[in-house]
Amino acid sequence: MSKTKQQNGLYRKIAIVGAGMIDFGELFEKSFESMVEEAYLHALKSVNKGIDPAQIKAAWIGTLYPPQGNSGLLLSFATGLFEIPVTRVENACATGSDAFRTACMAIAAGVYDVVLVVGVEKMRDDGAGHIQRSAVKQLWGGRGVTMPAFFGLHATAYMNKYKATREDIALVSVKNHHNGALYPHAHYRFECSVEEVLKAPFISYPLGLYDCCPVTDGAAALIMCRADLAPRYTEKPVYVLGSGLATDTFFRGGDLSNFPATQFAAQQAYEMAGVTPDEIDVAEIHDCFSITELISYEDLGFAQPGQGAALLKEKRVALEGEKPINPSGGLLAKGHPIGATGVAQLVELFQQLRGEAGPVQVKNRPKLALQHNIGIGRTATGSVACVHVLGL
Amino acid sequence: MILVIMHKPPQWRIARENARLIGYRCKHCGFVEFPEPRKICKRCRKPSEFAELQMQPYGRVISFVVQHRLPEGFETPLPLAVIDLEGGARVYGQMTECKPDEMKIGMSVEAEYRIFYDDDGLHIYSYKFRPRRSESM
Ligand SMILES: [Zn+2]
Repeated sequence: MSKTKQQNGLYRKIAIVGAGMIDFGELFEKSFESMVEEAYLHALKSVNKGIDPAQIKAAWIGTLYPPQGNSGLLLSFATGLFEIPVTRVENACATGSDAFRTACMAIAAGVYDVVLVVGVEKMRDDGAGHIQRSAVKQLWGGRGVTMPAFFGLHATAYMNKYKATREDIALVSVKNHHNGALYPHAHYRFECSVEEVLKAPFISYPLGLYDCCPVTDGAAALIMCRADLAPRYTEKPVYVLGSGLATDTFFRGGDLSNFPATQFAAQQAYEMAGVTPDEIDVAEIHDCFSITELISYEDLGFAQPGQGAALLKEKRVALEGEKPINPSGGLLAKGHPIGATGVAQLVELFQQLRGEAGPVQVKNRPKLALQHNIGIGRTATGSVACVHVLGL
Repeated sequence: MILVIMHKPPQWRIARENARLIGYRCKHCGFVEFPEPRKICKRCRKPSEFAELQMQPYGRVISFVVQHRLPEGFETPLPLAVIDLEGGARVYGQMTECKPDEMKIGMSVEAEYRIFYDDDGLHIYSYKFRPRRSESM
């Protein structure tokens, strides 16, 4: 690890002092702005020593499909935070985590002391519409390549290269639905067996229904400040140690058995934090599809290439394991309201590190946590990954 | 080969490359840009010169899925592949005349110019792929 690099990065410059989210689900009764409002109120309330909203000097909102235009105004209308800089961020499935990352940069640059980040998505109002409309009128740019198709292409390649089976991949869904059944904010709170995963109807072979995350409404919020100011707000701050973001496309090459964007983003985040993958105690990683989590174990350095399934079979990534992954049930159970996803993962890790994660609290007294997104963009022709390392 | 008239700018801009399978090879690293000619290479990331390349309508399947849930206008189950054209570009390939259980990584496919979709009543043509039956043109 290099001290210089840490000093140039975000290392311990930012503290998360408040975190909150709403219960994810099919929320026809709540508007986009009422979801943001509620998540923000939860975050304010979670600040142990209290916070006056007037202390928030800038805010970011991560959302992909806002209902009324594309500006940051939605956040102002929901929170009453007018008269300060409010910016909307969109970056595929890393939308929420990139909003967080961008807010961290503003604190690290010394421009703002206290900031708010909200991630939100209202997906159920339009059913499958957002997803289905994508990529229908394209010549070579991925016509008809849905999200399950993009990740399914990686599943087929991975299974072929490493002789992995659909059963191996199904273990991700079984684990995450087990955790999700315990997690109070999850959209889906049921358990499922390997047999049920395998017998479910195909969406995009080799992926079936239970290999896919649901379409979900949700919102989550974080309040961060300059690290030296954290004691004003809480005795239990959680620090940002490292952050990385990278893009890739398999049209440059590769065999589709991994996601190089994750590898690049993870390398940046680990280097900034001065930690190795082995040191991570708990992680929320991107399981938009079961295969995504399995491959991400390898891209994040938790397993050697082709060896990811062993972590599941040996229950090392289970809730009671040595390195619990997706204690919240992940996107598969909690749901994947795209802009909210990254922020909700960070909310969960904030609570895990503080020992406040309730029924899904991991038992290994975590000190280092990792958050990860890998998404697709540009009509399923490229990928965007974001990784954060948090610590006490 | 007949160039089909396409009435919208996004298709008009790549009409020649789309109809004739013309790619552009980076002089630094050999990467083939397709279908849009560019000045910067995706693979070596350098500003580069590109040589026009007549690609062949044959390729190899790198990976595939069989899509069962798609919007209106698609027949399902629909095999979809990532294909490396021989000596050319990597492309997404919608399969046709192909049973889902015929699909295999490494299989040879050939490209055929077909109606790709209808846009406001106008036929938009492009290539679909089927298992390769002939070894030469
Ligand atoms: Zn090049």
